[in-house]
Amino acid sequence: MQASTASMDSLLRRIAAWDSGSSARDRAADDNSLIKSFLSTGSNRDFERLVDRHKERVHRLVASVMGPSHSAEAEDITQDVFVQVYRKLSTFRKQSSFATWLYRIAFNKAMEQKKRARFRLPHAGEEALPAVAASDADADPARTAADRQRRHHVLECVENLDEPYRTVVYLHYWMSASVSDIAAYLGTRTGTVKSHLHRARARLARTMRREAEDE
Amino acid sequence: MSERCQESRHYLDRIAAGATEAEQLAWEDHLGRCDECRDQWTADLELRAFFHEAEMPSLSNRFDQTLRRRIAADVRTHPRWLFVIMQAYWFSAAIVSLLILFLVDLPGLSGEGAWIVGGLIPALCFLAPVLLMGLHLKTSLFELISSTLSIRWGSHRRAGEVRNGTRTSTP
Repeated sequence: MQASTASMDSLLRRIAAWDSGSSARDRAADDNSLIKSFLSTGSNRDFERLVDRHKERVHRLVASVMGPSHSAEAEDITQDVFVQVYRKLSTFRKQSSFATWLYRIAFNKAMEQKKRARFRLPHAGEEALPAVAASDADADPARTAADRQRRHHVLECVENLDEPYRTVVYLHYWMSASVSDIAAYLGTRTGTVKSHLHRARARLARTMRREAEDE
Repeated sequence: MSERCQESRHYLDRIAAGATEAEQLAWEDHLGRCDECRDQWTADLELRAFFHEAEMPSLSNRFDQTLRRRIAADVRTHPRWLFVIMQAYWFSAAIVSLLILFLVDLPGLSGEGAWIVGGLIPALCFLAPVLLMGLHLKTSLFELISSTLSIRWGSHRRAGEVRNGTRTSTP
């Protein structure tokens, strides 16, 4: 009962975390006025408000690019992103929305760090696996071990996907981001995101089936 | 049953919106016949099961405070006036170089003299600010090499280690 309440809470939290796209235009207008005010007055309060509006989303994008194996570094990278934005905000030309520009910086920075992290820590660690519910863990050690192995296998398969499939999978399944949210993140169309998800699932299924046959 | 069946794309979208019973029955019927959609469905279920229990990462309470400190440190090491001066310098260096290159074509300048005027001076114009900037910002070659080597040798920063006076986040 407790476990199901926890999952419901988790689900509600995820749904609440992604606000609807209807206010996107209002957000962009607010962003532009904050940027204008920050550039003219140099007031850090305006920049802080800008950070407040976007930090959670940037953090989720960065964590998705890094994956569960390196998610501990996501907060540091998110800070790097905002430091860079602070430095380069005057070069923002408003050819796209501020959010698109910001997410592009975040994506590139996270990709750069991911490459370095991969070099240092090439394998997905055990700690990256989602915690198994306590009730299951107490039930049967053999089943728990098999379950753990299966989870490790799924994570490895996702990690072996190419970009942008990997990030799209993490954003959709881990961060519960909708297709339109992912499209906004990656600066692409919803049809492209759907296609990426379709291909990612097909590749995963192929890999999993192949490995099951090998066993 | 086709090689590139699109049914799953349509149906997996419908699940999110809440599929009707009729749609569900049609989908189950289709799954019995189409390998590709069965694969898609299996992968979708696996991923949902895997990430269902996974915790979504969240920012720590210290995020704002640390960011403020890092921005202040960045402003000290990369002052705005330096950025403006450097931009002005690059711009003027580019214009001067173009003017000099244009002068090379003028009568009276040819051979070695033209090469020196047209090649060396613009090159110096561009290289001098790079050297000056490198010295001023202390972002030396040594720092670059040492950071590259530290990555190569694995003496890297891991989660939980201290960076810029703050501890990095832990899972």
